[in-house]
Amino acid sequence: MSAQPLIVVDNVAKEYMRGSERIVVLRDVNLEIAAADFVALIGPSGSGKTTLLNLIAGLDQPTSGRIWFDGLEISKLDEARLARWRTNAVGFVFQFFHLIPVLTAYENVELPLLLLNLTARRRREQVLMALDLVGLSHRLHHRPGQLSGGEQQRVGIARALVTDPKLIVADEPTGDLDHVKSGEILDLLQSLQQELQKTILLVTHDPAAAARARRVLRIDKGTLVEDRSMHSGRFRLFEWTVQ
Amino acid sequence: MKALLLILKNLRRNKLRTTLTALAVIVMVVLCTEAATVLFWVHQHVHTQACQSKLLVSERWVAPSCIPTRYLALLTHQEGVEDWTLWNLYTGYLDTSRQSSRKGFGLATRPDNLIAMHLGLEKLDPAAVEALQREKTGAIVSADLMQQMNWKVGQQFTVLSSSHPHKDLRFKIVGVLPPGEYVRNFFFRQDYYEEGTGNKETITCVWLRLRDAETAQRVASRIQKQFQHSQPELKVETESAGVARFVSREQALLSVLKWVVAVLVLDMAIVLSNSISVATRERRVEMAVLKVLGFEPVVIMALVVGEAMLLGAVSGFVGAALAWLSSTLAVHGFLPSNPATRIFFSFPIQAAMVLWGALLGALVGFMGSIVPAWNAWQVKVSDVFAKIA
Amino acid sequence: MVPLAYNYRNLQVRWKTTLMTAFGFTLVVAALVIMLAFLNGIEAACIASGEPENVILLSKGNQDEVLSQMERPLVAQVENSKGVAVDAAGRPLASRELFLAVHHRPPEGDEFHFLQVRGVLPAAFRVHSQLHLLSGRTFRPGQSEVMIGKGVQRTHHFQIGDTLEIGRKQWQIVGVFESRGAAFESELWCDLNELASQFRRDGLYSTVVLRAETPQGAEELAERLRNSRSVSVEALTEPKYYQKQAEQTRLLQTAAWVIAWFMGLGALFGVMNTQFAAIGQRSKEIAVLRILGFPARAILLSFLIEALGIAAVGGSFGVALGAAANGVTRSFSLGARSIDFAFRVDGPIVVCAGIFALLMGLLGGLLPALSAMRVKPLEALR
Repeated sequence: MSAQPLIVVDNVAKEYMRGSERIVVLRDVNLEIAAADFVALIGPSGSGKTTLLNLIAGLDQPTSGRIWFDGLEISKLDEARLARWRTNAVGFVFQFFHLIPVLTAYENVELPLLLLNLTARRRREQVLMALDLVGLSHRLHHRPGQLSGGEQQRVGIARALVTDPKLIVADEPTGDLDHVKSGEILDLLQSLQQELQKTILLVTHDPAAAARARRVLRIDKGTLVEDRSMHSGRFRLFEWTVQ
Repeated sequence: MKALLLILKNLRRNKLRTTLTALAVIVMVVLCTEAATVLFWVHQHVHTQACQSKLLVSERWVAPSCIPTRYLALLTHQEGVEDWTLWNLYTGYLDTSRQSSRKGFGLATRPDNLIAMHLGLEKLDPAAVEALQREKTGAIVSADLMQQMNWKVGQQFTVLSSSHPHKDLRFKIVGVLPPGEYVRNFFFRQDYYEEGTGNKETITCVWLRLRDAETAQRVASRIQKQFQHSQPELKVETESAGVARFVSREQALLSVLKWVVAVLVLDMAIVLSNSISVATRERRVEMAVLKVLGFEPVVIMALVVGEAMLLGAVSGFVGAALAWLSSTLAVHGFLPSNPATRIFFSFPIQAAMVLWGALLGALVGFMGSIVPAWNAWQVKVSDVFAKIA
Repeated sequence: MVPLAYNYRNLQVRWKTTLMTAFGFTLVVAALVIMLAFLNGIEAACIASGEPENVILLSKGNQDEVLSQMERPLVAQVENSKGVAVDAAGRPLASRELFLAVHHRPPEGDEFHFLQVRGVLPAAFRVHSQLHLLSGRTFRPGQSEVMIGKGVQRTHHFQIGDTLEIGRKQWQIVGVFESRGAAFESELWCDLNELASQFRRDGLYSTVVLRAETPQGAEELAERLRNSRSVSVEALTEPKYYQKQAEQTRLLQTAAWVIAWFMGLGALFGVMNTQFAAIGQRSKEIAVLRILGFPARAILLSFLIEALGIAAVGGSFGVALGAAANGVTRSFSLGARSIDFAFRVDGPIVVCAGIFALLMGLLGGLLPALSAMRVKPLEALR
């Protein structure tokens, strides 16, 4: 683990109001994630893992506590600045791919680049490189409807990494794929971490997916209950008491 | 009943869409109602109301016509003439601004049979006619002029004559004409005209009422023959022919108006069709479920058509009611007088139009639902469920 | 900015709805173009009728030739006013005219209609310099001969050589003339004295038209005559006179726009509906775009552009459809007279209709686009 963690989550809580009822989704979460790590976030549904992912990816703001990303306190940013930061720093991979159906694979991948000040030529190079990395150079001008599920998810991954972000978050990226395709996607994510030094944050139900991670965080009822480093085989157990 | 309830529930599902669709139809029906009123008015006057048994006698060749007063006795004593009246046109400006938008067209006539001899005065208050008979300088003024000039009954006004230079006349308002027929006109007494203008020699035209259309034709040709070699010669036509000639001059305008109505109806159908199409597309699954449950395709189609027709009818009703309301308010002086509201004085909207509006809406709903209903019919259970699974 | 291809392809994918909505615009815009072309045609006919060097005189209190009556002494007096141009022989360029609307009944039909007859003297052709013969010849003085305007020929299907019964006499048609689309084209011209004797109008004139050397001179002449103590006449330069006649179409102009706005409002609700539906179907896509970092205003713009696209497509077809009416001729009654005019679609109308369509698209697209902007990414993806 490098000296400076990429992500620091400091005493974060997240609550929602549903009518007059207050729902606590996350409480007292403290966490550090090192750069170029592969972290899996597991836990039963409704445990708050997606919420935590959203907070770290800058899609949502914590009710209390602070989050730093590469030294920048993102929990302090307003929505517009957060959006700009997100484009540069985070790539997203979704369970249902969420590609724009009317755009081709190439255009889908190009989409985030349109937000950056790049020349057309530069954009083209990056898109082709990203699609090459995911092994889809031969499917550039197909629309999502003409691609298989696995291919669609590859396009999704290419879109996530085309801006060269430090962090790639993936929410159940294999949830909608069969066993073989899942394996391929996980291989791909793993190679991104190993070869491109991307930090991967993966939310999953699937034990096979979690097994690819170097570090597994288990979350239950809004608190972190387990933090396991897979490569060292060492277990660390944290218990947070409810206040 | 159940079906109606289901339709209502369906309409309430997407309130935004229902509201927008309804608004579109309402707005267009408002316009359609007024345009249809104009076209209907013209049709009615040319084909029915204008009398085949009433003759208009004027100078043969030249407009404005000028008939010597000495002809009058010869005309009115024709065999078969039941009643008669005359007109003398007296035009002028109603105030010193001398703007053409403030021009009035006075018709000097006989007060005693005013209502009986004129088209569209059935609703004129007989008290106004009595007042005219008592008051020599009296005038019965159109609702439109009253409103535009902000006059009240009992008030006096002066006309700066353009037809009779230097013969400006002062009138006292004794009544108001019902809106519809006479827009920029006022009626006043022939004896006051003669006295005020000094013109006892000529009249603009003479109206004769005959027993029936046949007599009218006979008398018309007799008069024409009788005055063939007189100077000036006379022209006789039935009231309906006169109206038709008048209307034919506005043919270009009427055809543009017909175009507008056609466009409106088509447009309404399109808006409704679009909206219902979206609704059926969203409900494909439900329709498939209904089919699985054993509903016949006809029922499902009927639901779609019914939804469109109900929405159309209600919106049409509201639109036409709004048009009728604004027309009624304008005529009774509750709306400010401007070119847009003044059109109601010429063509007031009848209450019955409200029902026509609802009917039109339903019809348009039907037109608009044909394609979506067909799509609903075509829903294949297997397709829909295959996509979900 | 969200790429335009995104909007374009979405319009393409739901092409039926797109076309239907656009067709709504097409009809409305076509109707607007036709209504404006109608009014424009009338106005053009009126404007073409005026020559800026000419001053038209009417009897006091009258603004229309049909009702005006001037007597010989008055006419003789005004003809010699200062500022009236003279011809080579030193005679003033003044045209005494008698304008009558006469009833005519074609031999085969039994319905009357109006013919507008203008009795003139030879001087008229020097005063109304724009008038020229298309075929045949001019009428001879003292003969029952008429020449007819192009518009009359068109509406009544008269031919050279035909005879017309006007008054007690048979008149022979000897020529057809045109006058740059002016109101004269809806008239029959004949010898003044011949006409006057037919209708007991000897010594009476409807109008006198005086020609000045320059437009400036005409303005001054009209001004002088209006303010003169010795003569009592209405005096207007011809362009002003016909402009006043055209003002009668103001009300129609208002009506045309009221109709257009109401229709447009209907189309506007239509486009709103379509766009709301589109946004409902694409809320997940909007969420993804937001997550990728597209700002809310980019989403707003994107959906506005889509609505504008529909309006632009529909509007251009509407203009094209409406332009088909260009050149169609009709007659229209203006006050007591009727003029022939051609529907006239010109640049300003096209621009007007285009702006109208885009404005409707913009207004109709705005609310849905605002709602698209407010899509909450996390909720939409849940």
